[in-house]
Amino acid sequence: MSDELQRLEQALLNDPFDTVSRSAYASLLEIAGRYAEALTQWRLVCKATPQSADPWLHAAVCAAHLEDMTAATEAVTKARSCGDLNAEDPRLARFAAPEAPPRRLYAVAGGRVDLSGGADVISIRTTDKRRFSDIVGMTELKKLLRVRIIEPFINPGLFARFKKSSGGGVLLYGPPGCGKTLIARAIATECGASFTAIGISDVLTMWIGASERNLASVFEKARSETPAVLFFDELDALAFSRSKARSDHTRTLVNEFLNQLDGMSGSNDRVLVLAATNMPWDVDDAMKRPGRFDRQIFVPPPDADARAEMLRLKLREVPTDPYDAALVAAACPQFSGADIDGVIEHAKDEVLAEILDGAPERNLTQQDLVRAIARMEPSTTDWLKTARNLVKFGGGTTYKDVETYLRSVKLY
Amino acid sequence: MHIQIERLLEVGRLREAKEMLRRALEEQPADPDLHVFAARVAAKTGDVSEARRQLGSALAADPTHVGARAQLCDLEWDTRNYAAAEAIISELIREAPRNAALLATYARLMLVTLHLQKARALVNEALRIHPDDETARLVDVLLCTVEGDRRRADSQLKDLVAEDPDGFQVGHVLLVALIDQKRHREALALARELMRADPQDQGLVDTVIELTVATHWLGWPLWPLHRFGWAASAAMWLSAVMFLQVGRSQGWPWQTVAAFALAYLTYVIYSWAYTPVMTRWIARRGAR
Repeated sequence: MSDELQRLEQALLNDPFDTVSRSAYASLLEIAGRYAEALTQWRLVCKATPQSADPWLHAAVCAAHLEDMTAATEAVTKARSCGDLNAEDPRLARFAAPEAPPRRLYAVAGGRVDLSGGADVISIRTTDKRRFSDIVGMTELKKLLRVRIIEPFINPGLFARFKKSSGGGVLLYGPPGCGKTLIARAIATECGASFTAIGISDVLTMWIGASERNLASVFEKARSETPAVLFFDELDALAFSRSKARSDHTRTLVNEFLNQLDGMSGSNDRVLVLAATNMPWDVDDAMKRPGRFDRQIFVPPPDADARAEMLRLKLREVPTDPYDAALVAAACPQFSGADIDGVIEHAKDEVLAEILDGAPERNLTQQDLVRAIARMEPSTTDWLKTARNLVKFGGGTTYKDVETYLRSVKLY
Repeated sequence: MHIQIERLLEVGRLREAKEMLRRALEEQPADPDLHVFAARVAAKTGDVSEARRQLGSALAADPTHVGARAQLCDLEWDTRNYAAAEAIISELIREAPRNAALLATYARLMLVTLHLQKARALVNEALRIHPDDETARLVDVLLCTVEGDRRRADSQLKDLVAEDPDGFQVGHVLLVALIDQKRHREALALARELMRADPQDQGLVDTVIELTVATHWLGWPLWPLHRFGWAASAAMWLSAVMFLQVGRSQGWPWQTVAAFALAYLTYVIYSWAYTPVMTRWIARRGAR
């Protein structure tokens, strides 16, 4: 065993983030009864893979051996919150389950959760099945997406007669926090396809060649599960412009991405590739050519109606005095959905601070919201300024939608 | 892991790079390479004091660390502390006198501080050691442009463009050369192309505006002044004076002389006012 421990120690010295080796190392320490050391190692594994129940349970067992019941209970609680927890795991029997409050009614209907009657809601869905109807505002954009993406995908026959193919690539771009990811999820639901979201951490690894392999396997999986929607978040990081890149690794990854999009390794029929980016100018130009991400759709900040609707929805369960949502929405032009959340949080903080300072308890008012708006700068400002440079001085027609939007909000 | 951090920095994912560095530094707090990466992240976010602190940690762990010293040189350069940057790069060259990239970087520093002779000597040495070094060749083109040696600049530039037609740095140097040769239309097309790739660069935006002003049809009457500069201005002034003298000696009607004088004066005012007015106009309305 000591040889194996030494080998694993050496492996961890070479690569401290190798969680597989670290788990094996921690297991051996645990078996050897070196619980304190094992606990340290399991905690490191937990830090690296917080969504996995097994390391938390190991940590709990080690902590229990060391008679640190607080740490053990904490670890078990974390394990219980992980999606992959096996309820039958014998280790769980060692620790008493927390007393659950009696559950009342829960209602999940038609993909929408009914909150009326103060019911406890327990999600029975494992994946986020957002639909277009769940996205407030953006009527024009939704109409465009339906015609250009969803209908060709669910009704390929009709479109094939007009020589329009289903699948392919769509790039959603726009300022941060304006719902690009949400729209991508809704597109997948509307298309009735499996949805795989890929972030940069899912592809980029520290090993040379592994990132390309990860990318290829993502496409392979999608091809085997058609109809499928692949969604690449932050495309600019995965397909960074090769003319700006200095390292060969970045160039190789873009080349692999292009190969996969071109279907060199297999047909991409019935695979819809969606991508989102805040910085379309950093995406390699070759990615935007026909057959790849040739459909580029601008996702603007929510319009006034959408902002008003967001305010109504987000303040639904907050004690408020009557307020004019349209008026508040008009006071926060170019605010993204995330900014609206920020406004509400700021307003709540102010009211709570007042109450804690001894003022009588009161509801949130329109004035609180307006004051919070005055203290905030929309997070879209920088993006819109950059986009303005692009459409005013860059020439070309690539960003025509952005120009139209900037003109409509008098920012051009 | 260094590769991964490098990659995240390259694609501008500073938050992710920072998080990865935090985890890595928890494990290996004395690794100078990690401190250098942390300094790069801090420098990119504009936190110069944090960048200095990180480089201090790197150099405390390994006082001879080349990456840390090179990064410190970049930091001094960026903060316009050119003397300190020169001291560091000289020290690095003393240790590696045959490193063409270092010599080229030193040459670039000398070019920025307008020590042209020293820059020329350094770039010649860099090219002698490593004739294909891209930095050395780019600095050579810039130096040739400054020295007025267009033929050599053109020939070097042609090779660079042929080897890396999409290269961002090559594009910037080509833009400088085109502007120097007063090929404003080509320069404008290239500047727009570069700006589309990096719209956050305010310098490029200003260049596009300047070139749009220079190529606008309203600027055509000023072409001789743009093309030949002070020489054209002096020639026009002399011609006008001579014309007026001839008119007076020949006894031309005063209306003719006055009309000519007025036209000349209008042209002069137009030449003064055109650039600032047009620049404001283009900045406001955009360049189509």
